[in-house]
Amino acid sequence: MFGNTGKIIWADLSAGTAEHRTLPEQYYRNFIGGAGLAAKIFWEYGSFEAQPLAPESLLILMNGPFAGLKLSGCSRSAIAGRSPLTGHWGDSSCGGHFAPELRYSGFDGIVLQGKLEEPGIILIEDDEISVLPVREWWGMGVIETTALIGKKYGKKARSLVIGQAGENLVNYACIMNECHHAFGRAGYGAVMGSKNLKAIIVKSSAQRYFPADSDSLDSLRRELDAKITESVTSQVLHENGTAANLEGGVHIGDVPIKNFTSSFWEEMAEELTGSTLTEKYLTNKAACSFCKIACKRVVEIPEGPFSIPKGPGPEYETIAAFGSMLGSKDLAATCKAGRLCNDLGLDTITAGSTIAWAMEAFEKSALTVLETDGVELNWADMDTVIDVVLPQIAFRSSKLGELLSQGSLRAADMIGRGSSEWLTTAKGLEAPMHDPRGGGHGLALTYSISHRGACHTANPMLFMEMGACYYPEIGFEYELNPMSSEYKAESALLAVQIGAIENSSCFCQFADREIAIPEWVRLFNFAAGYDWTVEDMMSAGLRVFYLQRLLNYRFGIRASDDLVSKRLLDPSTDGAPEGVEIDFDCMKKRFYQLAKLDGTLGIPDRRTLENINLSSEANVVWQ
Amino acid sequence: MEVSDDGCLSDVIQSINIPVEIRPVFFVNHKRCAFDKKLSDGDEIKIVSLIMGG
Ligand code: SF4
Repeated sequence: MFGNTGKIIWADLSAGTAEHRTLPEQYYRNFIGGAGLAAKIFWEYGSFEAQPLAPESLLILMNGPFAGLKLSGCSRSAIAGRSPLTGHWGDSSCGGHFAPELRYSGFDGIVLQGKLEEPGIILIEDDEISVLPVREWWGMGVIETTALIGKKYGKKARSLVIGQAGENLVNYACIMNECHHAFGRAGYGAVMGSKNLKAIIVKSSAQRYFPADSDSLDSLRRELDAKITESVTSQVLHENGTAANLEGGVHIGDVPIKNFTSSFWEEMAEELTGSTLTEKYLTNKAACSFCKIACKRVVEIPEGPFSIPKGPGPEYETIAAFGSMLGSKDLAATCKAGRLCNDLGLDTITAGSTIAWAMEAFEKSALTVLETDGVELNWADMDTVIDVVLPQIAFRSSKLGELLSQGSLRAADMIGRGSSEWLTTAKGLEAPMHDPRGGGHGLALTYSISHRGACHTANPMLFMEMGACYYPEIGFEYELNPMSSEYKAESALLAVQIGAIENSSCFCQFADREIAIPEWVRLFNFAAGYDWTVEDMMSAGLRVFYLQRLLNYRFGIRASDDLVSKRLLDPSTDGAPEGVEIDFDCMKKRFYQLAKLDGTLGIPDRRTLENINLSSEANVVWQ
Repeated sequence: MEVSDDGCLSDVIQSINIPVEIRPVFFVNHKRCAFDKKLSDGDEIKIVSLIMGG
């Protein structure tokens, strides 16, 4: 096998054992790697009955075939399983430094099942794997734990760590790499916590990566790295980070304000945008392994109520989730809230959105001090968010913390009083900080059909609507009008295939904007030896998309669940998208036709599945 | 900036020569506008770049 090693670690935590296993080579060609391969592993070996936090539930971490290659954007991996937040299939992607180190140790991924008797870690040193107890680490934050790991196992050790939120099974706990990079979405930190697993540490002795065609890959890698580095987009990301566009986003109505109740707030735009972060607090730029874009921020706030020492800074999603969403234009507060979430191990998008929902509920008296133990939840009150609400969520230490630790959908179910009207979710996952009403109507469609729920990284629809990428070789060479439903179903069908390719190869969506379709194919062939044509590659993307839908079907998801909250569709009352209606039903209907999805069941018919090499899967769902 | 009586947004865009790579979007009096939008005295024009969303 090339690029991939063909070997994974299978850890049975109840037995305290971890062994090497191999996967059939065909799984790799058919499902690419990363999120796609994780879906196939779950399909074959996972339990559809096990609750997400039960010991029998599988947690699957997978690299793509490019992890270990010294190319910008390649150092990500995917984690997948049944999400404790949504109850159905999901996955999450993380950059940083773990993926290449795992590959250099000789593994494509790790499957975790069972539960350790007492808190422990998995230590991977080349092909030696140990499961070790670390009772004394339980209760520590991510920052302290990561520092301890560095001290004990050396600076070269790379780790995935959970904070107190994961230990306390908060539904949207995340998993952190080096305190800076997160498997943020869908709550896999809680799954790790439910297995009593505090950290996974990997340390390799050499940088081993064996591609199918080294010479061709090397010259393609140089070509692509130059293209990626020179692009204007990359330069802007390098200078001002992922929030570089926040100000522009406010003007088009893409940035959500006060729980998506407003689409325009001019003063906030300048206060929170990436260039302001650069001017005020940036000390360094940082990057995932081998990435020349270096979009990550290192910040320091030396004084004031939200002072923080030099360390990881927020990206766009965190700035908007703890800024505009909460009615605050205090950039320092977003930095501090982001740092705290990283330490506690909380997904900043769901945390910010759930608090925003709670603030609206409090404003409208659906949530009162009786349910919050006297805590008042007022817009822009960042002291309360940082000092009281976030810690209470992570520790589930109060009525309010317990309620909000569930995520907004379940919290709305718990309090009722019409509060579900103010949700901003799809399939139980809080929407990212891109408002379909201003950012692009196609986002409403792709949020709704995404297997994990409202997600902007499941596919590149956001970038396609923005005019940031074109794929002429597969028929996407036309300009989209973000504020209309025209061609959104057609482009979404391509977007879901490309998204599956990106998330299965574990390529960063910022870096791969510069990669053309024929270059993708060459990359797969030179690195992994898949011998693909463009058609083969696109089919693999579609196959992964279908498989993820089949998994969800087995978890009870149907066509009627492909929805977004009313709040994300109701016409905006201000800003550029004011009064514009989203024709969601029309987009969804057309997408279902084009993707050949059954209008009730939400999955493709038997023949479509057989034609794309999912025959055994078809036999299960179409008995 | 002065534009002729029957001037429209595209005249302004041409005169300031904005690179397409930064994906500019144009607003006249806070409303996103097409290039053929006619301009009147005192109109406020805002140009926003959609270089990348995070
Ligand atoms: S662009 Fe940013 S997130 Fe993507 S690989 Fe580079 S540093 Fe990591």
